[in-house]
Amino acid sequence: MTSVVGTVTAFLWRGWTVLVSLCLLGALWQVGHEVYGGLVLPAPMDTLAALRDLVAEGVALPAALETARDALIGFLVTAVVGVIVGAVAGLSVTVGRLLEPLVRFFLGVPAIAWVVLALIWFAGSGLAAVFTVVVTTLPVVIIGAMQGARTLDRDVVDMARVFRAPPWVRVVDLYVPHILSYVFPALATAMGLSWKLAVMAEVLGGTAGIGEGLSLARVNIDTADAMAWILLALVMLLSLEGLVMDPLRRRLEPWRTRGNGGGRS
Amino acid sequence: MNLIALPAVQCSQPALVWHGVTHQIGRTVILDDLTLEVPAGGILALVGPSGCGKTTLLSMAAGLLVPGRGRVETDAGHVASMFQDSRLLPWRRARDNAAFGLRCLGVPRRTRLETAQRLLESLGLAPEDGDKFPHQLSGGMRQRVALARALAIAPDLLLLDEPFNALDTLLRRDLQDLVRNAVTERGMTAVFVTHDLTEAIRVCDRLAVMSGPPGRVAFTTAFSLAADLRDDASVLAGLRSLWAEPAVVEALGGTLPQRRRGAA
Repeated sequence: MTSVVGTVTAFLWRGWTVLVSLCLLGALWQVGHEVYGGLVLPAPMDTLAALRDLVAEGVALPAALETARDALIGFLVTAVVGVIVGAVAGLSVTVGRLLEPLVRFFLGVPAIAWVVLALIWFAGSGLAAVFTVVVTTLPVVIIGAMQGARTLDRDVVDMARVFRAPPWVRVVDLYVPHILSYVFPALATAMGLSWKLAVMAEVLGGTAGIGEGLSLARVNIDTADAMAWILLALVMLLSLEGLVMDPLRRRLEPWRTRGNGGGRS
Repeated sequence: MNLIALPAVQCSQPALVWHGVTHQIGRTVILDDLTLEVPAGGILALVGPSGCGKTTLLSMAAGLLVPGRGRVETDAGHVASMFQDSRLLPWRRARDNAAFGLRCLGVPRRTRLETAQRLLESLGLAPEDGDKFPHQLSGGMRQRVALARALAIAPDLLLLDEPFNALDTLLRRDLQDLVRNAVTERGMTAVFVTHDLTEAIRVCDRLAVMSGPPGRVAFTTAFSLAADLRDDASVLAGLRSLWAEPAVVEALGGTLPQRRRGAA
């Protein structure tokens, strides 16, 4: 009973703090608007109105879906390939040594360079955004998974060997939970990155999506529209993180949260 | 003084034999041609200073380490281990941890969780502790879960590597009794490694004192008085008569054999 009350209170408190900081941001935005004028910074309410118009015209939704498709396909490819490749590289010293310099190299290439290359290679095929997302986020996830696989406790592995654990038990009970706990922060980073990269590729490539809307707003010097598109991208990313990633993490890692037990022998 | 008797004539097949095993790490010789038999049934305590190769012997028996020379023979079907640290899976609840060995044997989920829960409760955990994660349990409780994990697979051979080192005296005694009772009830064979002679005398049926490195068996004996009948006085008497053995003093006395001899 107390735990239910506690959960609700914590939830309300978190909601309250989020609301306060959002209001603060809105107030600062309004001040900026009144100092610099509507061309530089349109008022928050004007931005919301622009967003409402974009939705009403039937432009916003298809664009948002297009961007979401690019970002999510790229993210899924990265997640699956990155976790598997990273785990193998972490468990096998040879593969790890071979892969590590490559991963560092790819991590060093600026994202914008990938966008340019992708536009040349995949011009018109609509794959440019997905490609950019994958090559840029893959090294992040591989490194996370590699570190997870490398830091696996040898003592626990020995314990499993004494109990003659079959390979699938070792994978499901030892490797996966441990690697997942390391790779999850990397996946969260990759999720945020993939969204930004998809928009960037769309801006530069002029392919359909939120990025296209942004680049149109730039051409028309319509700051309210530009802000509306940014707001849309932000709301989608944040709701994805709040509604999918956070509950997923809580579901996967209940063993990390400190409960109210213990102490007794 | 009748606590210590001469080793009885071996009538049963040994449960575990190290045959002339050798182990080297780099240039350091840990074990050199060591032979030791563990008779079936009861607890054999292996006592020795650190670095004498006690843990190495257990690793060989558990199949974690292949001896450089020599061989390990055992007819035990199921082997289970308890370690200094509990080595529980942090992402699994106590009940799932206790059921880990059964999971490895392919026992269906419901059966193995019921067995695990029963064992946990018989080892002194509260019913709701089965739902807790290892980090929510105290050190003593974690070792109980590790003991439950070992006992769950009904091992023929139980290997214990200084399992109670991190616990305070009272908890230690509790867990020593639990191990002792489990071995007696189930009629299994156990090898109990410790550096604490008192602990060894309290729980074991047979005792092997090792010296080293390189490790060798300096002294062996068997106890005629059943372990659960040993009170503090008889443990103390056993301790005194062991310290009267020059081989034991030399093996465990370390750098101050003269003072030790004087004290005993």
